[in-house]
Amino acid sequence: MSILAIDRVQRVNELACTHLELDPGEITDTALFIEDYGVDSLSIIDFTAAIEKEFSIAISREALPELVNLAAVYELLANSPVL
Amino acid sequence: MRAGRSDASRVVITGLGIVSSIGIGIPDFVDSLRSGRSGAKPITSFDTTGYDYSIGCEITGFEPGQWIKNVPTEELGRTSQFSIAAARMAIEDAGLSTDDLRSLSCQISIGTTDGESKDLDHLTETQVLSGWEALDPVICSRIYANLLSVAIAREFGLSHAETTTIATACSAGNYSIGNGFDAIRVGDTDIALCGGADAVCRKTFTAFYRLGTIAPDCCRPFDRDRQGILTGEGAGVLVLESLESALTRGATIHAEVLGYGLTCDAYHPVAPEAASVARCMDIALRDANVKPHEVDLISAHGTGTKANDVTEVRAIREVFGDTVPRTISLKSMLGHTMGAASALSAIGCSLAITHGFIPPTINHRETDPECTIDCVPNTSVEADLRIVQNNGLAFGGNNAVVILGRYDEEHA
Repeated sequence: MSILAIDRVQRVNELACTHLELDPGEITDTALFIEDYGVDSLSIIDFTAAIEKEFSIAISREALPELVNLAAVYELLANSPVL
Repeated sequence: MRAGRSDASRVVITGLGIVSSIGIGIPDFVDSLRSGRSGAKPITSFDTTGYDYSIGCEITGFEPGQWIKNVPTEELGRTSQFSIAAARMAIEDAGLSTDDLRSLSCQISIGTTDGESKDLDHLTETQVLSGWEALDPVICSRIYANLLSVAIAREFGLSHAETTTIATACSAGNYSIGNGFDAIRVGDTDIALCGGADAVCRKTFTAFYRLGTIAPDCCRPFDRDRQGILTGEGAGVLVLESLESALTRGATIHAEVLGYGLTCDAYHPVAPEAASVARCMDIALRDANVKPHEVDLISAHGTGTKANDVTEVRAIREVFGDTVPRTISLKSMLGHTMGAASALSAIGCSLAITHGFIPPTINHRETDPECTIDCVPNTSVEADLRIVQNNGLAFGGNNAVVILGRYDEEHA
């Protein structure tokens, strides 16, 4: 498993705060978007679309339900080939 | 039977106009409903590169010139063309001449989801690729949603008609029928031309695709393996008038509009809310003076998405208790025709009543235990239908339910 570069981690955090409407101070890597932050499913689709665009990757429909927190997003990115 | 309502305030359907992927006009449409025909095929009206799958229910072989005689067709987007075509068919079916219509007061209500979004797709693409200067002024001038209803007034020279385009998306057809129904029962208008229209556009396909609600192969309402919708297109227009007017001029009556109900969930942008949907059905039944056990058939919104079907069946069970009627989804055949959907379904309900059969829910393999219902799978059945309920549930929680009844001359 590869580790995500620190600048990309930061960018993912920024996008998460914007699209999931969360404060930079409150967000953690392991807290769950839906269960812990009450994020709406539509906002998650919005967020993942922004990730796809920012990092030039494609996230499959099957992979979406697994993106439950930031840690899952980092792992996906670290293992995704750039388009 | 309809105690307390005068012939002047009872509202009947005397004309039907259909533009759909399973038939244009009544005979083809009835035949398709009876045989469970599917309108599904690969989408060709936009470039589908990049999508993992792109099946839809487009209409092929629509000839605008066959239906549109007065308005230059380049001044009409595809949705307005469908709208006029369906209106012309409905008016002719009702046995009304243009002179008749011009001498009467008319209400024209057309519901839509996307209006002329196919044109907007094109303009957007042009602007991105070639800049603002390259936009075609002819297309720019025909994108306004109000033209869907105004176009009908233009085509038939109805300069005194009231025209309304109702934008409550996937239930807008029912809203329009309710609008026409109200106008007649309070005596505001002599004739109502009401229904809905939409054309396939890349924007809508992509939005549903993004939401993960486009089916890769076909639409399977109430099925355990349902994956979502197929986007479709078309138009349905109904002629409504008072019973008194219909009897006076000897018009053929298809069915009676008994009542309707509207609610708005105010809950979520796209997810439906069962309690509000149930309340809408209650309101419609009360308006129609119909008890739940008197309903013989429900034409569901039945999109075939995970969320809709389970929520809608939950709401139906809440209202109907032990007397849940057979519940079908015409979207299994037509796809989701957006603003036209509840109008085409209402027309399907009317034809089912007159012709005595229930159209099937096709593509059905195994009913989802989470939304158990008798959906009349795959094969139509003969049925004596007296009262049919037509559901429309839209994004934004905009719900509209219409109740239709068989008109029996001998019991009038």
